[in-house]
Amino acid sequence: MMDNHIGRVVLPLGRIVNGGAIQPLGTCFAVGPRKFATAAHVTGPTDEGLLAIVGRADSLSDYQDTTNPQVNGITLKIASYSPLHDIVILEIADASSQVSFGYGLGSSDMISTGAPVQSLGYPHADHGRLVLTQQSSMVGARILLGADNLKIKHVVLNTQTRPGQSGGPVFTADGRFVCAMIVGGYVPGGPSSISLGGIDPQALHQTTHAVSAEYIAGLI
Amino acid sequence: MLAITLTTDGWFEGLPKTQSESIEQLVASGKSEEEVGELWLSRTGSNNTLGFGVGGPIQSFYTNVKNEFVAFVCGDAKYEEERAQAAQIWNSQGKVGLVSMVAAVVASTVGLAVAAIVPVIALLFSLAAKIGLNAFCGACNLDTTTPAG
Repeated sequence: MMDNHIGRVVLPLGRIVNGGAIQPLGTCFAVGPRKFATAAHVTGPTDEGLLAIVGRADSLSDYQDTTNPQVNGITLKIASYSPLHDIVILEIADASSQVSFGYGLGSSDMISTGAPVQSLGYPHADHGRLVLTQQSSMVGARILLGADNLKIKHVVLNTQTRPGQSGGPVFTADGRFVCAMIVGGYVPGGPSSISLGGIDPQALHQTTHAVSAEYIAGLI
Repeated sequence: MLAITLTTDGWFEGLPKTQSESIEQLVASGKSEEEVGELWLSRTGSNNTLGFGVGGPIQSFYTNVKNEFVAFVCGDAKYEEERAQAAQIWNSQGKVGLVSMVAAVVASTVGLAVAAIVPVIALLFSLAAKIGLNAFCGACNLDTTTPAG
């Protein structure tokens, strides 16, 4: 059962850009009292202007108000960075702020092929849409993906994802453990030079890659 | 030049497990410290994966980081005061303290997060220790005759 207040700890991540506007970048989720995880490609190695956007959602059961233009954030700093695993750990800059959450960090070892999982994220954040969205899917395969000479544990989820969902947590079916984090989709030979409505046509398929959460635990 | 006698082992000991294990695997597979450092600051994720973040592609920041590291350890006058502090930190805190301090100085100059470049600074110190600071600075074409700070 997913935490009733999961929207307080699975948050859109954004960056303050020119003129003070906030550009949504992806999804982050709490991994410690003052720490969040997201994908390294979402932030890059700079934390200037990074913030977690708060107050958009509380429970997944609520009606989220898409007409609400208000965006409030808490400043985050990079605490640890592992680009080949595509993971970054962020820390709340204000030393007096903390979050609490009721799930643990697991690994892809906990979800065998065929296991049902629940992923959370903010699809279409590239268009400014900040709707916490749950996707139910199952593990299609467990794979070792190459990152230069490293072999890194991932799962293939039988679901399609959109920009904004990178950095989203993948929970076991009972919601008790985060076992992986969404990092992207398979594109043979890397990104193509064609973009249709912001989508690389090669990424238009029904699967998603998620990196094992054990590497997140190894960065905290 | 930095007035420290560098020893070769243990530069990655202060890093989190995920970082230290991956760096050690890459070095053990035959990559040089420079190649690993460049990888660290120029790409993200696995081969054949397209990220679903909204930001643009990651640029390569390695050259900027290395240039400032070389300026720091090889005697650029602008870091004279910091080099003196670094020698004191080396004596009291060893490699972990030295790497953190130099990463903080370099990060503030190049505009990156300190934590993102800590492993790259550890890699550059590991390389400098292996070949010797004089040889490292000579290879980087920096004047090493400036008195230690």
